[in-house]
Amino acid sequence: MSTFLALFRRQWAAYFFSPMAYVCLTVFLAVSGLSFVGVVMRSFQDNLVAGDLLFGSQFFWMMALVAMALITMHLFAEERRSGTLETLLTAPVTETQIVTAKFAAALLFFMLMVAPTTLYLPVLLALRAGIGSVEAAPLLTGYLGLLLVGAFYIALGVWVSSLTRNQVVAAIVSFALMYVLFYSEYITYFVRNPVLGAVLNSLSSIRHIMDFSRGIVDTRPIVLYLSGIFVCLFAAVKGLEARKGS
Amino acid sequence: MKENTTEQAVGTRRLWLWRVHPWLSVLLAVCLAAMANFLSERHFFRRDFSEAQTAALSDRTKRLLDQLPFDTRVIVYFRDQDDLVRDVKNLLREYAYASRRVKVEVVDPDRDLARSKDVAVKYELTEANVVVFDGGGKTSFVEAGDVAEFDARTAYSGQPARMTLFKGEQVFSSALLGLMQTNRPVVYFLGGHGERSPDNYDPAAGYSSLVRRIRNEHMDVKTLVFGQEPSMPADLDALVIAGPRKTFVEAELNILKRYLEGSGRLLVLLDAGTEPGLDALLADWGVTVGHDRVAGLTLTGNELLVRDYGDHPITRTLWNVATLFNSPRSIQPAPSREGRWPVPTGLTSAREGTAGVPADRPVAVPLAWCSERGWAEMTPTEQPPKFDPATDRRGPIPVAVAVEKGPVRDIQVEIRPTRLAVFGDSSLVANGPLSAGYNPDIVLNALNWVLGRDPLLAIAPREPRYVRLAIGQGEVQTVFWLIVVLVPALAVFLGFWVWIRRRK
Repeated sequence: MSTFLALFRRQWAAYFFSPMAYVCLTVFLAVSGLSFVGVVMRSFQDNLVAGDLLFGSQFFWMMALVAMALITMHLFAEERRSGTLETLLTAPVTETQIVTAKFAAALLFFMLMVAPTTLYLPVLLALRAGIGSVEAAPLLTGYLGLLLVGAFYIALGVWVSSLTRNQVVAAIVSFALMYVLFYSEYITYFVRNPVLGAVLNSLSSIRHIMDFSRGIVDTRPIVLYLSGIFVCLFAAVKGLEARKGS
Repeated sequence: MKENTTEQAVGTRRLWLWRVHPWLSVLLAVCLAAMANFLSERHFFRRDFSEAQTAALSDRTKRLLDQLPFDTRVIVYFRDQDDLVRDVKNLLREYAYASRRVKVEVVDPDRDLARSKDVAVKYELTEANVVVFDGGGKTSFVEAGDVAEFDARTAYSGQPARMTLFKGEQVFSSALLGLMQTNRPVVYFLGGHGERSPDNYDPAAGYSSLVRRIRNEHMDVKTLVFGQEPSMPADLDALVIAGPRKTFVEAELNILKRYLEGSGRLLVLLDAGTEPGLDALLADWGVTVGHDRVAGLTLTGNELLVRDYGDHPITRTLWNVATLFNSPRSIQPAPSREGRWPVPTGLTSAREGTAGVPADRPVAVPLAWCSERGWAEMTPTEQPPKFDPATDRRGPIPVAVAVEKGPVRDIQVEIRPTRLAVFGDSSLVANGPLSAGYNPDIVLNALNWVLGRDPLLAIAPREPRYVRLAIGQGEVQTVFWLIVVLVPALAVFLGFWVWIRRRK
């Protein structure tokens, strides 16, 4: 456990020494804040449910996908490029500890990035009491969905980063995979096979997020994301093991 | 030499295995994950924690889906920009989650041109925004206009229309029930006394829109004229007498009397100022027809806005819905021994109001009444109507009544009950009001109840819980500076602070 914590602290500190993290944090907060204000302004006209205020904007999700690709791209690619990965692999730590520590640090950074958005509505309601009421349950389940989707995509980014030494390639490939998975529901427009269509629908994160932000909790996406996290991290561990052996 | 070759071969195999082993493990992990997801698709828990409960299907719909005997394809043929499409898709997905037999396909006529053309040709669709139910060799259609009610004020203001009621579950379950029914009930419209005609397209007098809606609810409509038929038709399931203007003769009244006594099903809509001579027949069934005109809450002077309903299967789905009667006459249950009708105010249970009435006696329950500020105008021609304490009766005054006799349950047999619904106005479901989106529910519910199709009546429409944050320009600016500028600026500040600290 102490080894894991040491690795985690190393990675966590690395985020705060990197200008990329601050750029990511700043741009994500600016875009999510802007999309929130935009949604609030049209809430009086449009038929929006509570979850739409925070999770109904495509800009928010697009920025979240970009941010997740950026915060995971360097995790292994940078270590491979600079040659520190070999040193790490020969140290008395297991591959599982390395992968999980990096994943945990990236996930925590993502949560830190998202945390200010929880203040948006309280700030708005505190500014002017009586402007309307907002139901809490869809917001809570919406954040549960955001956490699950975020954890899965970060695990995906960890795995992709473990495959290449080029950060830019890692970021582009991660973003492309995340984008396809997120909007896989729309691919069904071009698919005639009903089984493939059903699989694409069940993988579509936008569909899951819509459910979560309406206050619906379903065990199927939870199992999907937890198993997806397991597979991605397991693949990253096995990739490192193969590299260590060769 | 030979030993060296063997050792080399073993070494190569081990190296190969060493390289392949991790990827085989990953493949195994993928298989395990796929298996877990496959099982979770079959055994899942899904719950709606929101107050609006938009994703929660009623028990009646769940039972209906459990009994669905064939695979059903539901095609949502909606444009993606339509205000309703999201709610329709979300609700129908709940149907698909609840039953493996239901498969939902979304076809956007603007995006998926090839599939859209196939669907339009196959189901002969001329316009978008229709949901098609296809199963058991039958098809059923639900149009967008039947799914929701919108605020008329926003509909014409150029703003996005605000939905006031979402009736999706009721109409979709009705469509499914239509596919499952082997025999379509046959509703006869009586003619020969100046009644409103099902073939009349006139906005004020015709009933063609009502008949289209009745057919959409999977019923057949025919017409009947006494004298042309020696007795009631064998396939008659319910008889509708809509707005008779001429008096019924004795022989006709006897036919109706015998029909009702033989577990008949009758829907009567009577207008003020007419004398069809049905008073005595209806009185035998506990209904008093008033020779008056009910006045009260009104918008233009002639119509009566009714918002008070009895607790009855017919009116259970009418919560927060106003019904516009056009100068109705009073229709009320015959006074009890105490001289009062059974359900006086509020939504008291109809059963409470009729407690103690033997099952073989007709039980009349008021369905809708004017408020206490309304009254029964005993001079129907008076314009504008004015309350006269000496002659008029103060509200609440009922304008519609439902009557049921039985069912009498024995140990082995159950006698089919007689059911009768009487309204004090027939123009409330003429083409004009229906095309304006008013009033179909109460009459269609009454027809369904008369026919014994109670299950669908209990699926109440839902009031959407949309967020309306009335925020002014000043607040927008404050929120903008706080959220869009200050919070990201803090992140920039934190970055500079760390950078300066590290430089030191």
